[in-house]
Amino acid sequence: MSVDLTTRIGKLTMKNPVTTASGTFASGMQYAEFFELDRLGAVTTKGVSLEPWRGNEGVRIAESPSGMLNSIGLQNPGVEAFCAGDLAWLSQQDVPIIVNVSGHSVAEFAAIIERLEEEGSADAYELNVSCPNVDSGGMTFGTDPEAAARIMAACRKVTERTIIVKLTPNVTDIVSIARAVVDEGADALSLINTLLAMAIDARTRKAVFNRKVAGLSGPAIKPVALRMVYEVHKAIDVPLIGMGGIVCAEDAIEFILAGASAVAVGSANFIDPLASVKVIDGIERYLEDNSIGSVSELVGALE
Amino acid sequence: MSNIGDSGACSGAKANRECEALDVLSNERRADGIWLLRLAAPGMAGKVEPGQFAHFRLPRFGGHILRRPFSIYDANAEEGTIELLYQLAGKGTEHMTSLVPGERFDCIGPVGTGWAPPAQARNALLVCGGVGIAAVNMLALALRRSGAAVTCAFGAGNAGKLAGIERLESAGVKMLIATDDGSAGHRGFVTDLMRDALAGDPSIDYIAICGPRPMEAIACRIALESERVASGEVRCEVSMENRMACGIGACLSCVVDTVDGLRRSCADGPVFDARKVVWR
Repeated sequence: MSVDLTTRIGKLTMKNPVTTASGTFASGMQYAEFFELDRLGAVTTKGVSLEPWRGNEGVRIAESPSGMLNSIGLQNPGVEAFCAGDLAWLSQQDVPIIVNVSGHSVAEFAAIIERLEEEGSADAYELNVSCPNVDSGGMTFGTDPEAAARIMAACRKVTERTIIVKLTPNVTDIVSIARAVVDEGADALSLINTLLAMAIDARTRKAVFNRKVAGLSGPAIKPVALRMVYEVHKAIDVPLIGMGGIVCAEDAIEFILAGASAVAVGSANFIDPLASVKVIDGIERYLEDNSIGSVSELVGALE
Repeated sequence: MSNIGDSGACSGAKANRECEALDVLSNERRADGIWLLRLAAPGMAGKVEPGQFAHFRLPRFGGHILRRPFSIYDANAEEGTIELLYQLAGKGTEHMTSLVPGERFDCIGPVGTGWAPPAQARNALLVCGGVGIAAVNMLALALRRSGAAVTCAFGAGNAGKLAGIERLESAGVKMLIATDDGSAGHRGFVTDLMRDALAGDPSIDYIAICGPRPMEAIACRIALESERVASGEVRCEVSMENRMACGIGACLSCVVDTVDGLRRSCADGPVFDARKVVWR
């Protein structure tokens, strides 16, 4: 039987519900060596800032049980170089583009989107108000409903394209943040960014990372992410992109059952460059095996 | 459902780059804390350039999700094999010692940008510390095949930790040995030998460095004291492998500071022009 994997996130139509988690896939150029990018429902790019960001000094990555910590710090060449380089390349590929946008201020978020609107090749924007690895902006916006709402409102004024807000799990009440940005016109939410975490080297008695803290991702955080997708889905009627430790189709199905309309594969891209494609194939098989005609029937279908 | 890290096919896969399932052929201790792993790698064995590495997902390693990069110590295209010379340095390498023939695991490779000796190099000086010899072995053999004289200054903690000398000596590489405790060769640093070699032989026309980061910093500084190296007349390269996640240039975990900005050790490197590296 043929199954329908089509997924809608705001105005964005994806031919299947699988995208890539920002920062784990660059803009896809390296992964295009392994598979055809048009297999994906969408590519979500690494975060783009207004000016070039150097990222963090010192160690940037560490392994942890069933997971990893990163402290990259959003190293990127800035929106100008992004438009001329990765975005120009990506717009030649036959795949929807979600550009992840990272600013130090409300004005920067809007300015980045205005610049991207001039190019017109992004299909949607994902606002990164949740990175734990930068000092100003990032997670500080995403832990304050009013700050997150101000960014959303400013971005809504400069584009009619789909805006997705990527939320941090490092809050007591994710629903209040979610509601604040949806009230300002967010079309969808990405749940979740990395968990604020730390690594210490007992041998040297020092923190592994220069900033001391870092972001935890991978299978270790999947239960937390599932819980947050479930909570937000129950409370608010808005499309969700679920992510956090998805390494196989079964994980993705769990997120969809919890209420995600789409999913993103993140750290698993590092383990297996073909992980996202295997997730897509597996979702299709799951629908066939269970005689489910459309993936949309599964969204929030937790029994 | 597909399992993460399996090497099974999926629809839409391209052959530009692949994950190859490698079979363990042998896995033996070669020196104190140094092991040699021999793998059947018919897909990649013929493609390896000296200085490149392979990015492995270890079998039976439970919650350790990240791949591990290892320099390709040697490759035999005819037999379809590669070898890794690895040093016990943590849980991953300790686990690797348990691999037995017949076990199979997943590998991305060869990856990275390797050594680029000038084609006319006639007298090369290689400087390596500890398991750094794994990154220069293929380079030394290739230089010898091209007819160049090769001197390898090789340092380790003590005589028991020296691995890989015979293969180089049998290819006609002149070995200079240093150990911290004087149990073999010069008592002191390999960089002492390097300094003497450079001072004593003005015909050296290529330098390659690989070892612990502090050793690399000193070796690069010594090399760049020479006007001929600083000017680029004599090419000097250093292999710098950092902690990495993806291994293919996407995640920006492994960046090296250079005069041209941050560069990825997995894709732009691991081998860099010593004049470009910014030490801190």
